[in-house]
Amino acid sequence: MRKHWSLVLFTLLVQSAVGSVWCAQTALFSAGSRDDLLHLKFQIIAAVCLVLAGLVAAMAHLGKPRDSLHAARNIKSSWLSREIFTVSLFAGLLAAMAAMTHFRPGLLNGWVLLAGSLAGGMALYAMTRVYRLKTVPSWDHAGTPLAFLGSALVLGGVQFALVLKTLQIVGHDATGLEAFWNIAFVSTLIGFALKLCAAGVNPSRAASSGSFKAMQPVMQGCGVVLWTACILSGDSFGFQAVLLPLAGASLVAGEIIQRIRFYGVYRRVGL
Amino acid sequence: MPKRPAFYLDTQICTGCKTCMVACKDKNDLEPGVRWRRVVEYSGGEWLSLSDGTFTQDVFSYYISVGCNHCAEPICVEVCPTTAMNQDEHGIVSIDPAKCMGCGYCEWACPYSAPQYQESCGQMSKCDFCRDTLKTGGVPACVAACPTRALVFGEFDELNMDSVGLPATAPLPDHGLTEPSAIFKPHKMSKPLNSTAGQIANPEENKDA
Repeated sequence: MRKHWSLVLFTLLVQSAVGSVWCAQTALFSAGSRDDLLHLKFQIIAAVCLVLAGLVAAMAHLGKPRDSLHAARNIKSSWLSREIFTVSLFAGLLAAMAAMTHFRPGLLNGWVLLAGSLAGGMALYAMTRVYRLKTVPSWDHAGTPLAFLGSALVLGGVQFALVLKTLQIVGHDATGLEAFWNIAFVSTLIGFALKLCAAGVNPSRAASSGSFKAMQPVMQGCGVVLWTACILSGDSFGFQAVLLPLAGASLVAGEIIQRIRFYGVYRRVGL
Repeated sequence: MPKRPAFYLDTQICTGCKTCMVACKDKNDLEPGVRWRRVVEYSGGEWLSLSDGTFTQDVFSYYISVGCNHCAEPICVEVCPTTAMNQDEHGIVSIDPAKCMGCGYCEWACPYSAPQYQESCGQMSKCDFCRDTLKTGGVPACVAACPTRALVFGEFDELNMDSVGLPATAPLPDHGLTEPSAIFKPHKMSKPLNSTAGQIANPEENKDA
């Protein structure tokens, strides 16, 4: 098996984008004022950038990237083909929405973004199915979709919160953001819980080394604690500006470790 | 040319000499690390203590020469995103180099390690049953080279007549996964499917390229 760092990046970046779009979707449906929409425009732009970065990383995995133009020719039977198609569709829809939001901010609403959220969901599902090969029992189990969905929610929540914090730092009006913070935090909490469940149903858990295996929940647990502390710190802007990036770094590091482990446990039946 | 060509390996008389592997590498000019045909040595056993205080052993070893089995339900063709991996009217599975982008997904999926990555061109590669030779009435290089005639080829239905219902033996995967066009006549010491009694003794000769 060749080096898989590019696939680690691709899967995590796209899953992060999907999760953040879902957070933006939830936020759009609960948006209090038109001013809030400005924040969501930047969320969509950030998601587009991540998906494009993910696609570039995925190209690095290919032996002959020039021929990737053929990648969506077998939608009829190949989940990899479907994954490439749905991720491209997701990126295209988000780019169109970002452009639309830039020129006509008034047009952005929950129903418009719904197409992007659904495309993100389809991309996440296709991504999961790529790894559910009947000849690879170490991936073909319920833990894979649970872990991928968990990653989308954890990383999406982190991305959503970090973009909000960045906007605050660069001087955007923070009024009315409280509800958005909660959406990001709840998303990360649900994702973390899903990842714990995924670890529980993973039949290959015995195959990995003990200390490395424990690093993901420990790091992500620290991330959740830091984020909780950040919320409890109330209006202390400086305290939050330090704690939130630390929480994000801890959660992202846990995701990277878990994904490296995921590729590391690859075992095929037969020869 | 047979309607559905298939390989037949009599593991009872395969000596594990690897001439088939070398002939395949030579004919197809394969780069180091790429082996379209490999010879797997499966062995195991240990000393056993008997009740009378003596010892005996149940050591076993047998060889399985395996390449692409041009399966009836090829998972590599199913998963290939570009349709570069394709199957012709004779059931021969091959790669269209004009389409392959070298993603390696076929390599992940194939339970026989048939598709292998070629560093030199950045694409996957695999056995094409020496289709050029078959068309001129010849035999595949691996079959032609086998000194004990353990490895032969022919029409699948004819070769399969004596072997219908034979289950796969360790370390091969379950035939039901891909329906290989290959028949493996078991060795007298063959272990059943999924047996953990032995292990592949030459993994460095069989790992992914």
